[in-house]
This record gives sequence, structure tokens and C-alpha cells, in this order.
Amino acid sequence: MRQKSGEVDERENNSATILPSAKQQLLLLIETQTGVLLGVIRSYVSAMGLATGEDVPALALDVLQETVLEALAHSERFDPQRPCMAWLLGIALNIVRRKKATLIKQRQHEVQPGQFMAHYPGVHNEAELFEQLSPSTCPDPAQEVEEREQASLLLALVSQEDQRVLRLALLEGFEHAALAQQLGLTPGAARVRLHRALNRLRRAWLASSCHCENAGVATERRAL
Amino acid sequence: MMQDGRVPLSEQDARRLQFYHAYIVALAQGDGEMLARVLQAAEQDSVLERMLLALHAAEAQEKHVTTSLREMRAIKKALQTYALLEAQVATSGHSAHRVDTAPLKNVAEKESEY
Repeated sequence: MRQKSGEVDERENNSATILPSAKQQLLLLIETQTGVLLGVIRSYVSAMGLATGEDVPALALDVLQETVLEALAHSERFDPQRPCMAWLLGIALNIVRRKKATLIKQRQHEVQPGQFMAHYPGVHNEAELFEQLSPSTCPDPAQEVEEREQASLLLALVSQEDQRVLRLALLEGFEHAALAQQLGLTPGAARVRLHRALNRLRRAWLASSCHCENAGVATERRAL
Repeated sequence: MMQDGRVPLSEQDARRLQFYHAYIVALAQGDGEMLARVLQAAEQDSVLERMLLALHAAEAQEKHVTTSLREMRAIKKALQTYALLEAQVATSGHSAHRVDTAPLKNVAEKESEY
């Protein structure tokens, strides 16, 4: 995906050159990261059930278009010193969520708070319901120790070799040649090794979350 | 490495892994609220942002999902159109929100007709 974007003729003019500074930088970022953005947006569109199969790419393009417009409209919030892809993906995700909400409304499958309250016998009004559903945001020291233990256990779901690769690449930031050097592999082999480790970790986590969906994920949501 | 095979983690790394795990589960479950929370955290943490992008890169490679060169060119062209329109708006003084820019999708569709 990313490697394809690099194939675009670099001699073409960047659209950013004709705009003032913040928008210039923003457009330049979007241009250079288009493949990555589009790939992640496709994941969001699929994950949120907004489209399936061959409809996904077209809808992802719609979302990308709206993301670009919204990002440009709020370019004053763009800070090149901070992780910008996360900011752009946050905008894209909000658009996906809004589209999903619209879709649900169109299908008239909305669940009203009043209907939902029937499942919470101790709750007397909507404010109490939202309070009960909202996650706690005040971590205490004991909870933090528990979280570190849990995080350590999360990595233990894959082999020690995978743990090493993931730790080097994800947490310690070794990329490309540096990662290859650490692993004693060629850059290509290191990339494959990392992707396989990531996919094994993802599969292990998803399998694990299926087993303890109600308890584990609920605990995690509270923790975050 | 601990005796039971677990890796000792700093508090920050543990937090990152928690978010990373939550993100993967949220993607599988279509939990937009959790995805948004993780992305908000990633806006403040370039390591977490990199972890999320690496996850999607691995997923794309596994599923052989790529963005075609033709599609990339079409998007690039559309972005240039945006930039031109934005520049016109900037000089005319109208709000950027009111600019009806050519949809990327339409440009991409025209490009794919080749």
C-alpha cells in the first residue's frame, strides 16, 4: 500500500505549494500519506459495518474526501510537531461514525435511552444511565500496577521471539534497516517477520477477547 | 524476561499496549467509541501512533490490499484541485466551508476509465 504511493511521479508539482503555511504542510502530509490513510479508512469502513466487499473502496474514497475538507477547514488545529496521522485518522473515524449513525437512523433502528434503561433496573433517569455507561477516567496507583501486569500478560500470548520483535519495532522504535540489524536479518525479512508477529499477536488477542468478551473488555474499557 | 515468559514493561509501554490491544479488539467489534479514544491517545504519543499504523500495514499486507498507482494519481490530482480552490477562496475571502470541491471519488472514477 505505502510503497505504491512512493511510485507517484515526484516531479509533479505538490498542490501544497500554492497555499499558506499550515494548509501547505497539511496537504503535503495528506499527499505523501494518501495510501496509508486510504488503507486505514477502508479498515474503519469495514469494521464499522458501513460497507462490505466491493463497496468499501468507493465509500473509503468518500470518507477520505470529507476528511480532507474537514482537516483543511480546521487547519488551525494542525500541529506538525504532534502525531498528525492520528489526528487525521480521528477526523476520518468521526466521519465514518457519523455516516454510520445516519445509516442507522435511516433504517429506523435507533434505541432510545428509555428503551435501554429497561436493562438497568437500578437506573431511574437518563443522566444516571449515561453515568453508569461512562467509563471511569480516574486511575489509581493500584489500578496502574494491575494495568502493567495485564499489558505484560498481553504480550505473553505470543512466542518469546515474537515478543522480542514486537518490543523492538513497536515500543523501542526500531524501523527498517535498524530493526533488520537488531534481528540479524535482511530488511525485507525483518519486515515480513514483524508483520507476521503483528498478525499472530492480533489473532491471539482476538481469540482471547472472544473467550472473555464480557469480563475482559469491560474491565479494559474502564481502565482506558 | 520474567520467569513466566512475560516481558517487564515501563508504565508508559504498558499503557501503550493496553491501548493497542483495545484498538485491535475495537476494530474487530466495530467499536467506534473505543477506536476514537485510542486515536485521541495516539495524537499525544507518536510511539502509539506508529504502533497503530504498523498494525494496519501488516493487515493490508496479509489481505493483499493495495492502493493502485492509478488511484494514487487520481487522488493526487484531486488534492491539487482542492489546493487550487482553497487558494481561490483565500484570495476571494469566502469561507472554505462553502467551496463545493470536485469529489475525489469522481476524479478517481474518471481516472479508472483509462
